[in-house]
Amino acid sequence: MTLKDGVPDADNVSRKLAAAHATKTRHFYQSVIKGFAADLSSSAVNILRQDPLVADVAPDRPGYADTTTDTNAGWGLGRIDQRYGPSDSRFRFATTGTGVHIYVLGTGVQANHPDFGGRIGAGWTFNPAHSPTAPCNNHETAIASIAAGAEFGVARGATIHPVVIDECQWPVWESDMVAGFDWVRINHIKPAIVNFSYGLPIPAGPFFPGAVYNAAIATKNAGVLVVVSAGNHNESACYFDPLTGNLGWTPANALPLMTVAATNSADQRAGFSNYGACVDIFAPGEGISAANFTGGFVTVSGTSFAAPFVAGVAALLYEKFPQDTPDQIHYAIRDGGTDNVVGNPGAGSPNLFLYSFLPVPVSVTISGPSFVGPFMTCTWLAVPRGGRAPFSHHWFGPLNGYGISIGGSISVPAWLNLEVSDGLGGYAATSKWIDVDPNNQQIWCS
Amino acid sequence: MVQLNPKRPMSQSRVAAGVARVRIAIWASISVSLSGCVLGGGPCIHTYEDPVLVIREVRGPQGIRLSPVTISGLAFAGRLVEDLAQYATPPGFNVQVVPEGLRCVVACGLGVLEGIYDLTVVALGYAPKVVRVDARYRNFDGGCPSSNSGSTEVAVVLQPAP
Repeated sequence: MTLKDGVPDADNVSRKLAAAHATKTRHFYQSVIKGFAADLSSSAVNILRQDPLVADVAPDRPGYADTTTDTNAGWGLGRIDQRYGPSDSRFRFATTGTGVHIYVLGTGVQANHPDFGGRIGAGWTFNPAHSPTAPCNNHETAIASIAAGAEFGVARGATIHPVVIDECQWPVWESDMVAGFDWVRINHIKPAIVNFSYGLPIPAGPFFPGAVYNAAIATKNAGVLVVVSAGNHNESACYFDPLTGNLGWTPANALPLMTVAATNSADQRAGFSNYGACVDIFAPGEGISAANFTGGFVTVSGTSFAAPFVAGVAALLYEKFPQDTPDQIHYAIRDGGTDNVVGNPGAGSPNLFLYSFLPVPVSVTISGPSFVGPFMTCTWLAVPRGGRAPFSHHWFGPLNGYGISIGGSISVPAWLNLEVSDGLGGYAATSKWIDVDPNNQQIWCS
Repeated sequence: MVQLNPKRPMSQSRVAAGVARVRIAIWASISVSLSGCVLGGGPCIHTYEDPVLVIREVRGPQGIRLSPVTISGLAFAGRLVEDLAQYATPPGFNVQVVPEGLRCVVACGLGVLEGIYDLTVVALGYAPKVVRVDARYRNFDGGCPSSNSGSTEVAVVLQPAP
């Protein structure tokens, strides 16, 4: 929204209009133009366009700097660089994950497939007769190609390290899974990502939380981002419940790890995909094109193939910020996800879909009471999303300060204002209307 | 579709030789008692053993079997399908992409996504018929790995063209 030239006290007018009409304010502009950027309903747009002080209300547009576009990508790749579906089957990317190492645990990766272009690094196998680059099935070749393939992948410059824990026989032994994590923890090259598209039922009683859970956590604690699939049981991945028969799946249930559930091309949770509060994000996982270990390509489905989309996006981020911790990458991916586009996400799941252009610009909200008693000292907290630390805060209005939170008494109704700038030079602002009831003699803060 | 890691019962598995393997065995015995099926760990791949929608038969008003037929205007979840080639690959069967849409040699099967399909069945000399089907799989075998099987089947009757 842009105000007309010459509007007196334009900054204050902008803030009042934003407070009255915006569901979320992203920026206030004070110099190059007078106005604000915000999320607006269509009715709010109409009201603002009729306001005599408003010159223009225009939709936001994405800008892509120095990007490459693959115009023949599958639906999954095409979907993750868009906020909203359907997929345009075009994949735009600005980085390729060069210098980043992705460790793919499973049956090995077909190193000769042209999708990898020789970007296969040192791997490991628990069975000397089973080479990491001579896979016994397609599972990890497809996963590696989604994460880092030149034709089918997200991070087309990343190095793939195949780690064999599976001899293509069911079940896959937990002890072999642990051995794979053990090797990665010792031998990884940073920045490092593990893709683990396997699951076990959560062990009961004294065996909880299980060896593979502990191994994955230990690997993450050594500075490796661990991305895991949510599992394919169409149930909560997060807990075991003998009363309902809900099994729960590990290591998907591990909160410190990056747990990925699957969607289909209609932006619905895939019918097989697990869900729940331990899920971090959704990514494409049904009908995905990927390299085939015998050559050419195949179409694959499963949460196995949702996880490598996230591993690939993590590699794109790590190329920009190679010193980041796993938690920083983890939360940058979550912060950048698209809200509320997944149909039927499942009880407890975050309705958050993977987005590949990261980090997203900082935005901020104020957490705290909106209605106060006149004598109470209350506290408000800045809650930034996106951007990048360090954040600096500037509170102004009835209370003034520079911390992440601010406390004090507000005796008359007023706008509490907050500006935040981040380590990328980004800026965000928001305001919260604080109402006061002077007749209420109780001391309260709600 | 490529079949990966076919499930094998725990009794056929190799000899357990470690704490973790003992853990799995104990867990499996608990799980069997709870759910009546064998559980274990594995890759989280999902396979479709059948297409979600099968056109079992197309007949004229006198019961004449019609085949092949053309499927035009295929839409999923209210949206016209642009990439018809994905419907002509396994587990779909007897389906071929043609300029008018999909050529179906009855019986034919297509699609893996569960939901509402709209399609028009066309045969020479007969009036096109619009069909709406809520296609669901009958069976879901969950876990890692997992699979769907059991198609939704439809039969279509066409009337002679006016």
